[in-house]
Amino acid sequence: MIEGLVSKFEASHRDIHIEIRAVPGNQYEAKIKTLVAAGEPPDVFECGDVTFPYLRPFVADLSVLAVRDKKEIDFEDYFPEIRTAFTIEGQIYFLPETFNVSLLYYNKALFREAHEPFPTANWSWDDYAAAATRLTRRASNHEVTVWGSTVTTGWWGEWLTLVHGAGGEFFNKDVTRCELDTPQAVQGLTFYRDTILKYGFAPAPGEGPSTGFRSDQVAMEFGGHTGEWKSYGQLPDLSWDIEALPKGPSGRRGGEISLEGLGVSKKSKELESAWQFVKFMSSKSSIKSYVAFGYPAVRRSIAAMPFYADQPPLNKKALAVAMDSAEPVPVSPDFMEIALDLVQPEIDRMLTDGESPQATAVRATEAANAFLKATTPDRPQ
Amino acid sequence: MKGSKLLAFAVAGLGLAVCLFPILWLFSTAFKPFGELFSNPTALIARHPRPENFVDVFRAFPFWRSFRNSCLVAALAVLGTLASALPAGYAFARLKTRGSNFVFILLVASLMLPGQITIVPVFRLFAALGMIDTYYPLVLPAWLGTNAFAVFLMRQFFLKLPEEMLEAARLDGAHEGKILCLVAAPLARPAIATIAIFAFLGSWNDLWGPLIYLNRDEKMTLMVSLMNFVGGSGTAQGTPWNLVMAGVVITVLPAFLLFAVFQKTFVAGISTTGLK
Amino acid sequence: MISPVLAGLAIFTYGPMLVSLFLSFTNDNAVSTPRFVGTANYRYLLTADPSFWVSVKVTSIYAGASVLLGLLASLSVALILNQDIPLRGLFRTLYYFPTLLPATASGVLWAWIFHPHDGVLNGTLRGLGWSQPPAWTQSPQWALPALVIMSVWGYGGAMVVFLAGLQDTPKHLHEAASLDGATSWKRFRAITWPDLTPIVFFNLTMSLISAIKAFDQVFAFGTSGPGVGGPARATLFYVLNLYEKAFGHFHMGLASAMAWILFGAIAVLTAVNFRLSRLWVKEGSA
Repeated sequence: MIEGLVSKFEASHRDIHIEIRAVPGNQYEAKIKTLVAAGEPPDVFECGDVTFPYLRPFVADLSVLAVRDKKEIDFEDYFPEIRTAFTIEGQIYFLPETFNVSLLYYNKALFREAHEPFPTANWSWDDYAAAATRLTRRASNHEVTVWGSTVTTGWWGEWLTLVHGAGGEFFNKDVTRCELDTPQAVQGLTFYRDTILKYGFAPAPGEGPSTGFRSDQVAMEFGGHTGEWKSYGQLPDLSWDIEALPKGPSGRRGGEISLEGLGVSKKSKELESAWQFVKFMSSKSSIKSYVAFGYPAVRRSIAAMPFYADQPPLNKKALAVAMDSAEPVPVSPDFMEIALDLVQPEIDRMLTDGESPQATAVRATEAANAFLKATTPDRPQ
Repeated sequence: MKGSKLLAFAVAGLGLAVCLFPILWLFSTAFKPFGELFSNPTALIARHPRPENFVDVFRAFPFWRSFRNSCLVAALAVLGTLASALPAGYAFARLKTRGSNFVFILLVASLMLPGQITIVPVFRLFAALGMIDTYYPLVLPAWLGTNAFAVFLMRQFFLKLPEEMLEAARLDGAHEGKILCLVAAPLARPAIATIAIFAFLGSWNDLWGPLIYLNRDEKMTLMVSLMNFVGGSGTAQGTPWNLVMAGVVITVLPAFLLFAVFQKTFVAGISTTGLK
Repeated sequence: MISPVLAGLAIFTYGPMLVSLFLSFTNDNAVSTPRFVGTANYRYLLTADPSFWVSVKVTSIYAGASVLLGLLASLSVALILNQDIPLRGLFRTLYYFPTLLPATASGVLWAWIFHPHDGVLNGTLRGLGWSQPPAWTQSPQWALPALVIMSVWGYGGAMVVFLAGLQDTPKHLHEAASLDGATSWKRFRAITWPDLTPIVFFNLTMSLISAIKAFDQVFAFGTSGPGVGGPARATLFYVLNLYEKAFGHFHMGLASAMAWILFGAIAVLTAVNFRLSRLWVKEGSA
């Protein structure tokens, strides 16, 4: 699909040629930094609010160009939450193509089979856990045939949401201190662990079907990622829909909102051409292509189109609720490294080794703070 | 057969079955259609074997291009290794140049060094030279004799040459370079073969170097391509392990072929290094 | 004739070694000018970084277990093959086969075999009645043993060397000894083993160093499964940790410090190994 859009762009801009370089997602940070280190950064690159903090030294400030072309871009057309997410300290550094917001995914067929009412936007954690427990089915040899819900490991999509839901935070306001050792954060981590070890409706890592929610053996997915919409849609037997996440004890749903867009390199010699491309990829026609492909809409005009309402997931109202209650990701160049390299291993141990959530939180916090202290002078000026 | 020999044979056979099972499994999976990965997980032979996997793998991923890239890089690396190891080995063995012993010791010592200790500055060096995302970082070091093992082997071999042969050539007025090319090198064929094979495999199997230095898809060598394929090929139904295994079979082919043809050299090469 | 080698050693070996030593005392991150930070990197690694000692532990356990088991296995096979059994040449060839696989391919293959849900190992175990087999690649307890198993599988090279060494031992000594009534174990201890010790020493040294530097197969194994270093850092090998720091996050100063610590450790280990060898390796053939 991206190639199609690029061809379309090149057709209307005969003097600009775009070369696409694809990189496996988990190596993105490494590859970009390698290119920068080698002095050859790409002119345009994927930039979102999660990746922006570490890309910041290399990204051009597009604010002036944005103001100049604001009629063409039509900023009011973006959902307000999206606009807030890509306006960083009043400046524009990228334009969005799609976004992720944490949602509750559910398998309609499995719910109907179990005579369970579908989830509502008013669910609490207790409602969620109770339903998931009822939906879990076991065979005669006690092997689980249907799981109430999944557990998301390998990234912060679920555990951080639960920490938020309990009223906790990952960091303090200016990201100088990790705050996972508060009682609220620990409560969130405890619930996360309990889905596997106490309630037993979520599979331990490695236990469940390797395709997770796609296997049609899992009734719900907590958090998920909108990037999966397309693959769920490709499975003809999977009947699914979304709902806003249940509210945690603190009243927060805790989900994240994170954008994916395109930014321009500071060192680019083709600033104007690059900007044209960035604008194009976020334009109404391109967003329509993204949406037709299966992604959620960043623009209201596209979201209002009839085909959007008919395309799964059908419960678009849930999307609005989720966006309204979503919390942006901490703005720190070290966020991903800390979340994945320092906290995730402790979380893994909690889920499989029986470490208590309290000890896990304390160790993760200590490691994160030691790291922040050791590397803060590292920041390029 | 004597009782103990029979027992030994049986045990050896059993061990071999266990040892070769993964390779059999590799081929088994490579021929399975996707569905059978799940419906028939422990069957050794697929119900509906699918040689098309080997074609599909090329289509699912730019394998052919990566294959060619690996060939190119490996060939250049082998040439470079031989081009630098032959003269160096000869010089260390037969020419009494001042300080050559010291350099040789440094060379052998470098075998003990972990490659990681030099990677950061070398990476910066290549970055400064604009050579990131080219094949220079993967090939240039070979041309400058960094394959200490190859130099070592060549020296060992040349040490055993009878001095009279070389003296005769010198008396004829030939200078050392000519002697190397016309007299010494042709005799060194077994050593050259061994070095060439191991240098080729070293480059072909290399993941670390290409992972660090290559960025563009077009430049990727086979090992990195394989990794990218496994990491990024997940479809809605999950990773296509049957295609992945087909890909692995392809990456393994050169080594298997070389071994089949040059068995004696392999075994000789390994044994002599061990026994020396 | 040695000038290319000289240049190579200077540019690619010893020069960079010195530069990396310098960098290990800075906060280099490959994009801005490095600033001298003294021993801060070393201090962070040795006292505050949770991943450092974990990776030392993981690597040590792996190196110890795989070398020990691997040498044992390859020696046993060599001894068995030395018994003049029929088809010995074929056996030797086939046992050597697994080493032909590039480490990367090995890692991918074994990640598939060990796949907790769809892999053949767990499929077989479930078939045999074990309903909750280990989650291998996803299990903090079993991920490392899985890698050790994979490593032992690749000891065909050592086996070939052992076999060659065994065949070198003159047969008549054995015959004389068995005529004298010595049991095979006694014969092994008195005749075979002493001649083998240099070879054992060689194999031990080479495998130990290469196990400590393990990267390709670990990277491949992990990429096919969960994140870097496996679940709960169960397979966070030292060089993998270094790679992540250097090329995942561009903490070049830290990575350089890690490289020098590795070098120091290998140097010490090799020295100790050589020292100890005087106690058990027979002189003369090394």
